[in-house]
Amino acid sequence: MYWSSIFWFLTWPVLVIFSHYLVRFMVKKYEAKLEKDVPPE
Amino acid sequence: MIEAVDLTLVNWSRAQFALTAMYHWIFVPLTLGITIIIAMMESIYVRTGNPEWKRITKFWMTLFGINFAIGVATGIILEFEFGTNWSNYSWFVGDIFGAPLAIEGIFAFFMESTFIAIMFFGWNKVGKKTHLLATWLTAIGANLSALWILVANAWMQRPVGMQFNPETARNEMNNFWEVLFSPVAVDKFLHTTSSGFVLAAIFVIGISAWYLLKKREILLARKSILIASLFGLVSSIYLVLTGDNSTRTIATTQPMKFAAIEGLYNGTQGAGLVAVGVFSTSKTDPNNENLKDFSLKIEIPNVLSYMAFLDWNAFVPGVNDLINGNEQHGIMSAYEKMERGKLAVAKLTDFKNAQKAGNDSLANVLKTEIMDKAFQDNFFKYFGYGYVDDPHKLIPSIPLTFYSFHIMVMLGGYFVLFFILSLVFTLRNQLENRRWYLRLAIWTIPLAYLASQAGWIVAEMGRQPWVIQDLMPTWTAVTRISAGAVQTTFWLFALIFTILLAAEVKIMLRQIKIGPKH
Repeated sequence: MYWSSIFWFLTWPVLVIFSHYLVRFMVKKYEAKLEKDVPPE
Repeated sequence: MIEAVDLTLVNWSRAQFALTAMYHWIFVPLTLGITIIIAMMESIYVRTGNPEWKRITKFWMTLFGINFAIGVATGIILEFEFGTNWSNYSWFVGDIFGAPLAIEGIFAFFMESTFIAIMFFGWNKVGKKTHLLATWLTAIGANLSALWILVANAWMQRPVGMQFNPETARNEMNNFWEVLFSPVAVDKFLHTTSSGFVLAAIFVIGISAWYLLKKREILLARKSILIASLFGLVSSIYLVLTGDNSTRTIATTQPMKFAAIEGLYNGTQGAGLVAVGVFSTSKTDPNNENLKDFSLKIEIPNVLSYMAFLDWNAFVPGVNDLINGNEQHGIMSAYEKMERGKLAVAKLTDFKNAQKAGNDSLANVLKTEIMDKAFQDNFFKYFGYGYVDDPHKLIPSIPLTFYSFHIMVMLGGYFVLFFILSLVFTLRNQLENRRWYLRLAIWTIPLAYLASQAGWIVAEMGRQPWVIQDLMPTWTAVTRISAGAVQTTFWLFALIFTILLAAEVKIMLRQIKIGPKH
């Protein structure tokens, strides 16, 4: 009787892990672009 | 035995708990989300070895530290209030409610606190990877801490996994897993923690936007906005999905709350979703303050039925159906539930009287009758209705629930668009050119807090008058102390919490102005 709840519950770590790897991937891809044209403070 | 008490005391006790909970919830969601954002930033630092990422991580960690320290104070007071202000409640269900709270204290809170120490003070004392592990465990610990509190709250919304013990007049847990994996508990955990993720992402974007407006810390701001936009976008989509699932659970477990959320008075098949609505002051029922018409309503046909039961033509019960009953759709009236509840209360009273009189044979017969499954399912299930004298007391404040829900939903939709916009401007490296967006980002921070508070108003005001759904009305749960004492502590807490909040805002603003260390 708990299976659908357990399945839903497991989406939480999936959300965190997926976000983590997405962030890693996007930072790797766009970091250089973000570091361009930084005006002096 | 539970007896009704002075309503002034009940109202002040409710106000005090609401005040503490709302102040506490100012601090908690930021902790839930920002710890994960910090862990992601530190992961990039450990992977790349770029000291800029360490600087970014330490800056957000400082803001988290300020928020965490002050948030803990309000949380501890909240737990004490169960004993001081809600002792009848604690007696009636302490055996169940106490378990998740204890697990929260022992497991999550200690775990969180231990690793926070390493996170803040261990930079030069432990290795990079050990430090990163401590940061991740702090983030997981903070969210696990929330899990157990939310399991306890969900149990109040839908009591499961327990057995009533007539000897002690208490409910006792008999199935831990049913309590933990109740659909309400899971929905509540997913929706609440992801709302914290969204709030924290907006917080990071808003503060970074301020730096960009001031032409300071450009790199920190751009990189922080990239991470927060991605995490915020994924979390906000997840938030919508879990909110949808949560609404469906409410439709079946708390139909009165569901009717209040949509301002639905008369149930209908193929019910429409009120996208925008304004209540008029005219009353459809002169005996009831809560029943009001809409003066403006934009409705999307059939969508409410689909949202609730995944069927475009399903019948969605309204407030009047739940009060007066609806034979055609098998809905029992509140009057019938009140009768059954009174029978359950009377049976328990007879049992206690027989015990007191030393009539063991009668007590045993009554106990067997109370424990009988048919009696539990048909009468004891409505135990709380036995303390309700007017069925209109079963209706929550509909305008408050309706408006709070719609504010939350509209803001939730806005946040998805906001994160998309943030991401587009970041990836095109156009953030500094869009000053209107930077100002918008700063003003979105209070909107995130508003949406978060509105969500809890829906959850808690929408379930009134129940402190435990169908089993215990709020007015029977309160500790019988003087209303004056509660009033005094209410104002005292209001003052202390306001000072704490002002201190947090002041310290945080000061820290933001100082900026990260170079």
